[in-house]
Amino acid sequence: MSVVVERSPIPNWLTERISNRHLVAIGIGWVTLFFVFPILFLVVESLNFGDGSLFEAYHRATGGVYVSAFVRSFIYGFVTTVLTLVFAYVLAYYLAFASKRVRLLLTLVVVPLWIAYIIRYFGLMLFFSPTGPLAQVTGLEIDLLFTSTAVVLGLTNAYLPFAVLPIYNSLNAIHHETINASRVLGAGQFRTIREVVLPLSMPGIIAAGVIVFILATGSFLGPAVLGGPNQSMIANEIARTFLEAYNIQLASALAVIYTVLLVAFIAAFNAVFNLQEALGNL
Amino acid sequence: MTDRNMVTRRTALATIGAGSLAGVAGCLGGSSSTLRFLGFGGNTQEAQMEIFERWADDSEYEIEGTSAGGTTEMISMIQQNPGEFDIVALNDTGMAQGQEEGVLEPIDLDEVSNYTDNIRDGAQELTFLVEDGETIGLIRENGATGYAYNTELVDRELTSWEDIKAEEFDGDVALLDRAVDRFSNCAVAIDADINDAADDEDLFEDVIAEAEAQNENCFSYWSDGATSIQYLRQENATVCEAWGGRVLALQEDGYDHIEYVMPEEGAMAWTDTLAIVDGTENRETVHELLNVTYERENLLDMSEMMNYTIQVEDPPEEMTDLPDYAPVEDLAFRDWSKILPLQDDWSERFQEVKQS
Repeated sequence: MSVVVERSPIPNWLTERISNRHLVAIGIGWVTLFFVFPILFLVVESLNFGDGSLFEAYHRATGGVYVSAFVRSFIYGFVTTVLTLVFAYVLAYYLAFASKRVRLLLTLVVVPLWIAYIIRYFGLMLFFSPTGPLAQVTGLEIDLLFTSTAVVLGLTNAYLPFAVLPIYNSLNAIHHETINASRVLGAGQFRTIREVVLPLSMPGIIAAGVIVFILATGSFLGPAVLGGPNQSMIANEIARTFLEAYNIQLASALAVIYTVLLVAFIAAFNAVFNLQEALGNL
Repeated sequence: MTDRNMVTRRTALATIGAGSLAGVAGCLGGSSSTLRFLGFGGNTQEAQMEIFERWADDSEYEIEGTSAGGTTEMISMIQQNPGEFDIVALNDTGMAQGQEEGVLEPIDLDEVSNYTDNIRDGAQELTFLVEDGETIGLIRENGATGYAYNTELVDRELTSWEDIKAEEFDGDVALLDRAVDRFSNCAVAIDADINDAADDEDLFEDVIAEAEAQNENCFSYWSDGATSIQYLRQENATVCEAWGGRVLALQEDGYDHIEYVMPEEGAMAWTDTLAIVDGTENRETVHELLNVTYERENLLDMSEMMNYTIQVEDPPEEMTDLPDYAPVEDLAFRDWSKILPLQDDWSERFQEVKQS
């Protein structure tokens, strides 16, 4: 009896020279260069080394319009995440279990990612404008633009593909025998979804939730194009503080606070859901 | 402002400029027979390039135009690419900021005699064009920020800032998203001068009250002229604070039901300016180019292409018929030595107004 050993796609000379430590070092180096260093740079920029308090910018950043912008960003981020997960789950479920044209539909899910966000947001704006196609065809004038609803719907539309793909991946990994076993043992369709499919697809839901929440909370273009004066999010405030007020110290402080809040939120989420375990199963 | 703040701002401007470097590098040849112009883009840039090309056709030089999204980006591009730009077009805010950042160099007016001959004396002496007795900027076009409205949706004539506060326009008004410009127009609306409000707390609070009153009907604030026109075209806005030249261009596109209003209380003036970039290797040629630009015929052509006023002596009827035409003597300009230090606080106060 002969045994066929598959050849590694990586050349021998490379596998001999690169150890796990090297791979870890590349990852840590990447994060250090593109995340830790920029954040440290921002921390230094945010401190006041002149007259007055060292944390003057932080004092200002934790009051007035900035608190509203932080709160608004996290609320919009949360609502967008919930809505996106609902829509994405339905779509991914259809793709995984019911569709006969999976490749075509997956392509349609991915295609919007090739189009710049700003064009997609402007597309929505044109669509819902009083002279847009919706009003022209139906005669209805929907008073949607420049509201919180418009911003959340815009963000949901923009980030839907980021949720569909991981959820579809985890649903697709569920063995049909498991579902059949549930049905054979007497569970109805909804009970099977609730007690078998949903728990097994949880890694995809968690991954999608984290990705969408991070992207939505830090959105700049969504509120800038689809929102009004009361829909300004923290990214818009950071841009304004820098581009209009030329206050780099305050803009840096806002960015640092936002990053700390986001990392704290992910850490709290991790404590509840154990991201490593959930994403490891993806 | 502390030295520390200055260093910080420069560092950050430099960071943005670095991001623009790759794009600029692709556009710029670096040849000494090429003059590099940095402007705002849009039809003012096209008009300017048309005039520059006339000169270039008869010279051994080529002109390359680059555009940037705003004054901060323009100044950071200049800082990050020393010697890569020769001429820049900045607005009055940009001139004040450019002086502070030291990116402009004095202009020898003896070499630009067409400027001194053809531009009104009053326009040459505006505070943001002169630094320590030396001219650092040449006024190009100017205008005022009034507003436009859709006459198909409004059955009466609008003539004042008071009119846009009417209840019938609830949620139908769009305004300009720049604190200093917005407050300037609100000051004019209450018959005050924004320069006085800069050092009069009570007067400034009156300006804020007017800004809050105008904000009540506002559904959105726009930060670039194209968006204001888009709001009017798509009927998102019934009334929209706007620039006269943009509205005129819209009317020429067939939207003649959009009417531009120079409010009876007046409106704050703005200017665009040409300046020489510090460190240019083509200083002599740039002066020659500027001199040609300020030939009367070229100035009138530019005014016609831009739809804005250029402060020439004896303006023709086509120019005086422009919606926001006014001789420089009738215009109020901002004193940036007072306003620039307050810009940060005003920007934050403006955010509070918008969310009130």
